[in-house]
Amino acid sequence: MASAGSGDEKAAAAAMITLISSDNEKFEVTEATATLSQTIRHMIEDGCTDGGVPLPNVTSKILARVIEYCKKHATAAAGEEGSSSSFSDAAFLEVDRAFLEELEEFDDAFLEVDRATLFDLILAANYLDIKGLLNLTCQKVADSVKGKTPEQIREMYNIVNDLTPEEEAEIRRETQWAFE
Amino acid sequence: MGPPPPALVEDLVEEVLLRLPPSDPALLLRAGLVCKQWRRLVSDVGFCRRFREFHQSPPMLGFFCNMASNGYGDDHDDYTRFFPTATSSPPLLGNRRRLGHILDSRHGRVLFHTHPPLPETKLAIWDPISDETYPLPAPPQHDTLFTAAVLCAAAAAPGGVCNHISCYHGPFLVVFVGTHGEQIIASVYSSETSAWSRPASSPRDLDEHSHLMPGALMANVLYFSSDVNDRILKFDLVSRELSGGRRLGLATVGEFCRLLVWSREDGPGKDEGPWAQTRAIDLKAVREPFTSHGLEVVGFADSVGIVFVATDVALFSVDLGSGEVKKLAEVCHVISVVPFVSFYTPALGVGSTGEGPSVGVSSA
Repeated sequence: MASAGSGDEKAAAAAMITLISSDNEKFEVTEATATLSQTIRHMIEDGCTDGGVPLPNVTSKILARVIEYCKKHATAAAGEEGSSSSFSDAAFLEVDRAFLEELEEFDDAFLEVDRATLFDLILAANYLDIKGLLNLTCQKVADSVKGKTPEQIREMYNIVNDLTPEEEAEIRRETQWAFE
Repeated sequence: MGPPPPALVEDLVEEVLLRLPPSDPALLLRAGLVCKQWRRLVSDVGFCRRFREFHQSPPMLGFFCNMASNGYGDDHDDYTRFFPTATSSPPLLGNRRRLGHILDSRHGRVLFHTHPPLPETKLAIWDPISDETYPLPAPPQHDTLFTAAVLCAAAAAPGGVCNHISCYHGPFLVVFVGTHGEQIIASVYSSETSAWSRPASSPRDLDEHSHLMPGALMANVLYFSSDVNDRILKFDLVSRELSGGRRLGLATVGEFCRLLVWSREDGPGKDEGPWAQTRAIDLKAVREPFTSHGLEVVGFADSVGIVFVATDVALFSVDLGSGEVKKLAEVCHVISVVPFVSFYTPALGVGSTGEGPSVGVSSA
């Protein structure tokens, strides 16, 4: 009975989903990887993934990166489930810690992209509803504005200043301490 | 050079700005100067709420330090200073150097009494961020020894469940504790009724020359300790009962320069367990060779687990979690320290919704 059960689990884990990017490239991923996206999870639950999942908002270049992220983090999620149900002695904690460190290193390296790619990743993470990826990428942008003046922020993110000089002066007057 | 980054839609700009650290509120203000969209976003009431929800616990922006000008606490020229401790902080006492003696601050509000002391004690609530004050009617009759605490009304409800994310808009309570003849009385002011409650009382066991420290809130109970003889007063916010305790404080400076932290757990039923010393933190590092009078506990930041300790010449914070001791300022004659723990989200003159992110202290 036990072996039949684990066989089913294996079958479920190995179930493959096809994701189709806006430029019609097909990506085969495991269900465990794909369901890090809540959007895809709901599609699977509704049984409408036969023949592939078209993602018209995501290019192949970005989708490949998103899948890379999901693969790594799906392994992490599976690892966590495994360790919580088994012995939690020092050896296992040590393994967990090492794995978390590895995951952090992966995330840091993953964020080494230009700003246009970073913004595309944010848009994709939002559209696909992948919480971890949205958090990671938005935090990266938030960290990048620390220590920057409004002018520098505009320049970095190609934002047009549409505040009138009067509005700008008023805000600066009200909150002068923030600009000292 | 690649193509310019695509513009982020408003929802995603918000996702980014939500992640700016609350301990550096200048970042949100500077973001508000980037363009109209960003200004509207950071000034929006909904954004302010989501910012609080995202970060959950407000940072300590700084602390108010009440000091005696001559080293004795009864001089009319006592003064109060604000010391920022966060990465950035508004100059809270900027225009209000002579505000008065600050008694307490919690959940975004500051409670002070005007000085020089008048024949009648005048208390008021101050919102440092909108710079509005809300005077309170005179508290019940009392002698010269008193203190008071401010808290959101939700924190006083049974169970004390409040995430303090939007309670700064809501009703608040002020708990007044003072000596009156042979009694100690406690009375509660509610912003909803705009009146003080009938005082509860307990036999007086405080020395005339003692000070009452700013209160510390734990669950539904406010504790006020006295500096002289380690007595502690306990006011139960649910039953509205006042009782006195002997000998133990919440944090006291013990022998050999150690900060002793006391706690007690509720026993089964109505009984309370005994006070037990749970921590002893070594403070030798803060003791300077020319210090003559030793150390004194001068305040608590109950929401962030910090105790303030003063020597004759300097003020220190002790983190009860990590045991870390930090020098905050070189100041003399510290009477008490009141931390200001709050989110700071800007209004930037937008105020289009009428609700506004300012800290409404009205009882509406």
